[in-house]
Amino acid sequence: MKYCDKCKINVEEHLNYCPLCGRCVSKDGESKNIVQNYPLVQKPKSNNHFVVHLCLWVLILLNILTLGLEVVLADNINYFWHTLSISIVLMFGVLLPLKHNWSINSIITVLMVFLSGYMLFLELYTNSYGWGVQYAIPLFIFAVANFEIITICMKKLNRLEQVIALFVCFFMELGLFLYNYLTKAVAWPSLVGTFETFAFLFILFVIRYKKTKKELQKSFHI
Amino acid sequence: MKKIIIKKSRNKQNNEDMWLKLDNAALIYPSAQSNAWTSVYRISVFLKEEVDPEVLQKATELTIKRFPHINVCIKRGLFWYYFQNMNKQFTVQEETQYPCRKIELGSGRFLFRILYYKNKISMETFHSLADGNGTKNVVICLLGCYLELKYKNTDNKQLMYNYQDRANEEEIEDSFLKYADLKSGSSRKGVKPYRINGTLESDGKLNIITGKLDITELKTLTKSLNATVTEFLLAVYMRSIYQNMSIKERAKPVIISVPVNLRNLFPSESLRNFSSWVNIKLDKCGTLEEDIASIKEQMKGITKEAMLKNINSNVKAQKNIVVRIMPLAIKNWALKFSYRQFGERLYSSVFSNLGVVDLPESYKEYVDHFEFYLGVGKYNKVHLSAISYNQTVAVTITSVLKERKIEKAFFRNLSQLGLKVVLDSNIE
Repeated sequence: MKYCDKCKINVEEHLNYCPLCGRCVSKDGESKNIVQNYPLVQKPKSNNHFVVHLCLWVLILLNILTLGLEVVLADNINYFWHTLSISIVLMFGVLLPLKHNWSINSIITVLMVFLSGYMLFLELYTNSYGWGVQYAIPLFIFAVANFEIITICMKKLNRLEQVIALFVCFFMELGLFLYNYLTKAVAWPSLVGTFETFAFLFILFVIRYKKTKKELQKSFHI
Repeated sequence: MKKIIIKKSRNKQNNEDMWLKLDNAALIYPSAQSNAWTSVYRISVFLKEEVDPEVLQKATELTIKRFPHINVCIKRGLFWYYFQNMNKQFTVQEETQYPCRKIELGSGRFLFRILYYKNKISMETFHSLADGNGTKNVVICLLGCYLELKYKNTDNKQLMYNYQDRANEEEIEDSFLKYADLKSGSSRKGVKPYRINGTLESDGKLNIITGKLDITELKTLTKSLNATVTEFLLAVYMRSIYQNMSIKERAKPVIISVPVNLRNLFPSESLRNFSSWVNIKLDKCGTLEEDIASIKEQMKGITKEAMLKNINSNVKAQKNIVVRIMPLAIKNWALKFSYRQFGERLYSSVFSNLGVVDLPESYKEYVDHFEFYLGVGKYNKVHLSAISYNQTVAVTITSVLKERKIEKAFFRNLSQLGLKVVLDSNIE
């Protein structure tokens, strides 16, 4: 049995350092602790992080691109809705299952995939846009999808990426809202999105100010 | 009064296809589980020789047959989670990761792990399955079976649970529902406690420091202080936390949640969850004797009536019609929120003492000691646990913080009180 003079405590024979203070208790100057009763843990290599990042950015860029093109080139935003629907299918069909180890176990996930599929079907094969398709479902999908995107962003991205993603989302939603409002189109869904992303930005900068500041300082440190 | 809680699936022909409702305490864990709060704890038994994995595998298979309530996975219903019987073979694994990692829930996934590493057998359990005492009995049964298969030691017949016995209904009953009279509940209001802060470890690393104490020495000391082992360790732990608080932080009390084994108060044979809690508060640090006296006074609150109030308030919430008809997806949010508000936020840490492991005399030849680790919470990052066998009391502090100020103070305090402490750790 070994003894730590600093803590005045006995240490198991196989340990070379006192677990409390880090003082070397080795008799032969061993440089590493021999942890006898526990395995040496190999950090698991995972591609999940990278894949989720990539998919998120592809989705966000795809949406920005489509919206931008439509705002500049066309006088309606039907294709944006289309892209958004596909994004949502990707989000709930690929990203969330990835997050949950490939098991779709959320009722909301199933519902969203179903609704997105239904919307796509109506858009591609019929001309029957009712109020439900045009207003209620997009509003619902938009709100939930935004919430999910932001939730995943918060969990998977670092603070700098979070700030960028939220700003991009915020200006995207704001632009969409203004465009819709000016062209007297349906503005509610984008208004919901605008408030939502603003709320997250508010949380990030006001409530978690200290942590955000520290993280950003680290990100911009040369 | 007693309901049959194992039901056969109506649609399937297979007689083995059973399902089981989650007990009252188990309901919260699947909803509130996260990477930060895994709700997993571990009981390890250290043998004197290296573990034979093949024998352990065989022993595990026999033990699982004895305890049908652990041979389940958790599934989502429309309104509640439920346990579904598993027809899959369980495999023991060599330990390669940090203790108390998250157990993924879902179809075909067991809610416990049996791990081996050198001379150690560990069982990690998701809390929905059973509380510490329930799991302790499973581990003892597994150990008995292993020793019989490996060393032909047949003293497992003396154990309370032998692998050759059959399970009975009382072992898998929901004792909360059985004993709740739904008359008066307990208040969940509490003061804001001190929170132990620090730098978080990455990759889910759980730092473990175990101090092994001699039981005779410890009992002599506690007797001179007129305290029980639990009261003494609790007092030293609370004082160690208090010593590390700044002057400003000392305005808040240190509150430790102590699980209470309800089987000592109610005549229950349940091997599932049947425990409640009591929150012990320390506002100001006095002498050790004064602190022990204060804790002793608060411990007097562990009465049948007080615990019944705790049970009642939980069962009332479960029986509430609004809660019952709420779809599970929404219920998950509500349960998570209520746990954070009325559960973990009301205390600074947890101290769980599993007590003495009682084994036949002949087992001393094969078994060295037991250890018991608690997984940490979302807000409370440091927990204390204890278990004793033979002459050794293993006191473990589990933490996900890089700083080891609480551990340092706790074990140094024990040492200064004249106890011989031998430290072991997984810190490299």
